[in-house]
Amino acid sequence: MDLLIILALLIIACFVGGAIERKHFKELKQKEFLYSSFLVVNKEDVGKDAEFVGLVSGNVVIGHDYFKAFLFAIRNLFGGRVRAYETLMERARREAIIRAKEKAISQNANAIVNLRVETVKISIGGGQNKLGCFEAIAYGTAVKINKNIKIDKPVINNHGMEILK
Amino acid sequence: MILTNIETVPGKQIVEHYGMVYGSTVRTKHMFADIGAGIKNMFGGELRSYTDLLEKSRQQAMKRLKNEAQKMGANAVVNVRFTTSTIAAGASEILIYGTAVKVQ
Repeated sequence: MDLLIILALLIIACFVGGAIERKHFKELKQKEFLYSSFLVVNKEDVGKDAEFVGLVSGNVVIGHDYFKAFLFAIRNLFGGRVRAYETLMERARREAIIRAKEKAISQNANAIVNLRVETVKISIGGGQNKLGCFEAIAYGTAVKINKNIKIDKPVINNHGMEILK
Repeated sequence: MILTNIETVPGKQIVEHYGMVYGSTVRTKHMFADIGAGIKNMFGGELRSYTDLLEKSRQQAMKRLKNEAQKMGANAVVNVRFTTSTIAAGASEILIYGTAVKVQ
């Protein structure tokens, strides 16, 4: 009976989790395309007449699903690349960067310099659920720069461009 | 109070250094939110209550950092860094630190 419940949960988690992930990736693609002209660098180099706007940060907490945990448990026996968690971390990181960009845009900035990205494992509650979830934080200094001045080659995430192709 | 995570404040000049300042906070969520997050964690997706919690804690830590800098007589904090760590099940510590300076 217990086994049946676990199996049912796994199957539900596989479909629901998969659907959530696909939807999230689609949203990420759209938003990254929307903000693809926004300059993000992780250098401290600001142009000469850059105008200071403020410190901006974006964060997101993402939980895994039971199916991913199951895949991980199996992968953990043999070692190697854990693809199920790679996509999870990627989603969290991209979402955090988008939120930082959104905050900067709402403050009328047109670039973020010295963007730092951090990932932390946070655990929820006590009890038996020790698996926890992940937080991604992206923070940087929002500035208004003169677009004619080239800082350096901009490091823009080009996922949005893939839609065009 | 100006906060930047680069070594300077764009468009301004640093005239005085005051040393390091810290702001930290430890926060936890009530147990019902934990249960809700636990259920959400079965099927994946964003745990919005936790995102909000950490965002709010970060704002509070930043407030403390600003207060500390103000006490020193600074008007800006440069090179600000964020760190987060889990110190117990369901509780996280947020630490924000930087260098208090006076800019002109």
